[in-house]
Amino acid sequence: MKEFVPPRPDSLITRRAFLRRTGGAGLAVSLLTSASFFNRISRADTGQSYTGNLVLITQTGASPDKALPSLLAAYQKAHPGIQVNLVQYPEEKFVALYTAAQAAGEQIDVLMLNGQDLRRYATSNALTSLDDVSFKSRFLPEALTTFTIDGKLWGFPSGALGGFIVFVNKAILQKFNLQLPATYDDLKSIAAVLHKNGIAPFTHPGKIIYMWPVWFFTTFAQTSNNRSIERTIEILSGKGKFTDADFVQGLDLVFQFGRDKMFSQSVLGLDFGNAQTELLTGKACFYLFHDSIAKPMLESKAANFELDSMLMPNLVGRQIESQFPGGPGVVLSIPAKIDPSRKQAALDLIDFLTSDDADQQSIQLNGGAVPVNAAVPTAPISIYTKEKADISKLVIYLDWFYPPEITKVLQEGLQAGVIGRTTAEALAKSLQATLDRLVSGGYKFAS
Amino acid sequence: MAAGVSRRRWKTALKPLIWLAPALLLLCGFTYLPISLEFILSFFAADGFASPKWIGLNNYFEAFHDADFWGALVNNAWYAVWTVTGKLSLSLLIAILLNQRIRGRAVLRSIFFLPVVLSFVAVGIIWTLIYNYDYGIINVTLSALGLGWLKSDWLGSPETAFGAVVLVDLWKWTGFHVVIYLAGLQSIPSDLQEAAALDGAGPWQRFWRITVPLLKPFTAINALLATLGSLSVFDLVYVMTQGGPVKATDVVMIEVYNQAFQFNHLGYAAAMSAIMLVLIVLVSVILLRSFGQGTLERR
Repeated sequence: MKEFVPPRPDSLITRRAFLRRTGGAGLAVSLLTSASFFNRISRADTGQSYTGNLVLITQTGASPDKALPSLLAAYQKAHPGIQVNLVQYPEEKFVALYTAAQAAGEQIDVLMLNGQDLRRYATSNALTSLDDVSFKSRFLPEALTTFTIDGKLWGFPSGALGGFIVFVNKAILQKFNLQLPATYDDLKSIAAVLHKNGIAPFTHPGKIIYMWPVWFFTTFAQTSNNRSIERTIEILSGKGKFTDADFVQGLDLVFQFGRDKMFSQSVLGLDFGNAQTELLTGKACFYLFHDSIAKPMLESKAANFELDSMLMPNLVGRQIESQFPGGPGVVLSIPAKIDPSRKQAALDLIDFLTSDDADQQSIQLNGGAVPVNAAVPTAPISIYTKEKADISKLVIYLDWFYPPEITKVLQEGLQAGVIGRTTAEALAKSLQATLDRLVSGGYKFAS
Repeated sequence: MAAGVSRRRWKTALKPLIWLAPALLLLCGFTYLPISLEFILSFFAADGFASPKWIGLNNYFEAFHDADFWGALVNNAWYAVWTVTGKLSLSLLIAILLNQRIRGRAVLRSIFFLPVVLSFVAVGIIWTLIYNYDYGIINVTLSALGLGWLKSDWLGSPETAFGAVVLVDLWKWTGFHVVIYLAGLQSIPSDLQEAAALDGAGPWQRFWRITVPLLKPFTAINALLATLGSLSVFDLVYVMTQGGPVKATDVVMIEVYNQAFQFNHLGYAAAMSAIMLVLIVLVSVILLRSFGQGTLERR
């Protein structure tokens, strides 16, 4: 009996045909890959302009960059053949995600960093030095100083110089006939009235642990007699200690805010959105936060909300200047491991994104106190005009100088101290022990 | 003739291996190879930028002197105690109820299982909103009931954050253990229960003398899975509290993550993971032995 063979539909291919076709496809892919490889090599050799993808990794925080997407679109239009892939990491997870991307060997051409990360990567030799770049003359010299480490320039700033000022819901103060506080005692008097009316004096995203140090930078600026940067460099270089009196007093002042119930009751459970909502909805009167949220808050048109700002009142009861922590917005850098064939294209992109026109657009859309480009004017918003007048009081974030281990201990310690779980002395000792351990392991402060 | 037999034997012996090869390759490539690499990395100082440097057992010595690591390990142990006992007792109770002839039993089973299929991130975000101090449903309900004095910053207070995360873990995983217990309950022959009832055994006696002993293999599976999950917990804690406030919910995997991705101490993170892996294997062996060797195989 003849074996039954089912009829083969026309659409089916035989195993032999399948192997032949996949083999052909594999060969074609191999040839294309080789062609692309040789093309890259020949471009690198001849200096021919790059075409293909560029990957820009940036950080997103409480206030997203509204100018960047349109700037990138304009860049691509002006550079046919180049596609910029924008990768956005939440700023609190940036280091983790960037480390993972780098370990996975992903293409990374341009980085938009904050000053702290720039120092971390610059001192790890993970960035390309940009000393020889011609367009650095367009920036304010102060904006470049921050990114010069060990005598080399590692990145170019974008946006505006600005920092953490105290936002005030003036409508609340007016409702209770209160004036802006000038001293800590004034703050305590205001807090008493606010507490009676169920309003917290200060809100703060205390759940986001890395937001706590700005409080200390503000208090230490006062307890160090406006020498917080110099004192930080002294401490990190071994010429001072974290247990010195001015440092401990700075820590204790933050904890005093906790002891005097200056923060929202749920401060350790608040994230960025919650904290901003507390200010906008009248649950809190003051908010120490970055000026980048001024424009969105003004545009929110919340009821019973009138935005004003001030610098932290005098907390130490002696003649000092109230300073505020801050720095140039973001910094654009190039990773050290960039493929040489894409380096010029990456530099061109940075040139475009930091041009005067780009900075002007960024200031218009995002706001900002003092544009980092010397030729660009400040946004016409009262908060920024006020901040610009105080810009000489801006001190660079101290954690841009700290090694990450110190920053972590400070963040955790401040969070613990605000709820009375540790003391200023204990935290200072812990910081010093961490530094001593780092020094014994080879850490040396890079000036 | 002899050669033909030998070839057939070879074929018979090789066949299962050929069929298993794809799965074995995947298992080796995605599980055993990374574990081996992790062990190797744990003997190096590696930051992801510079070339790794051999430092022998230093990472392990550092872990044994690291107060944060020990604190996280203690939290892990408590997390295991609360979640394992909670999941086992709750799931057994719910499984017994769902094993009765009650109306809407199928719907109830689906409802209890639903949290299992939700992603950790979604669960974490939902519960973070539920626990919110100002507008979370718990505090709003307490205020509405005139119990405002019971309001708490559930995730922001070190006193309540740990319990709040444990509760979410119970909510998410109890349904999974219910399914396993239900399978166990349905495998118990009804004539055993009927015979015991005829002999005068009450419901309580039948539960302790028949149900619990016959469920032992299922309890072993549930206990093992719940323990493994609790010792390697990361995602829920990371989404809800990131180990805070004030390290109240810090667990070893959060420490591993921080060391690897915040400080770029990849070798040290690998050493902590290796210690945890050894601990998990030890706990699993102890657990299986305590349920009696071969309990699982007998099923």
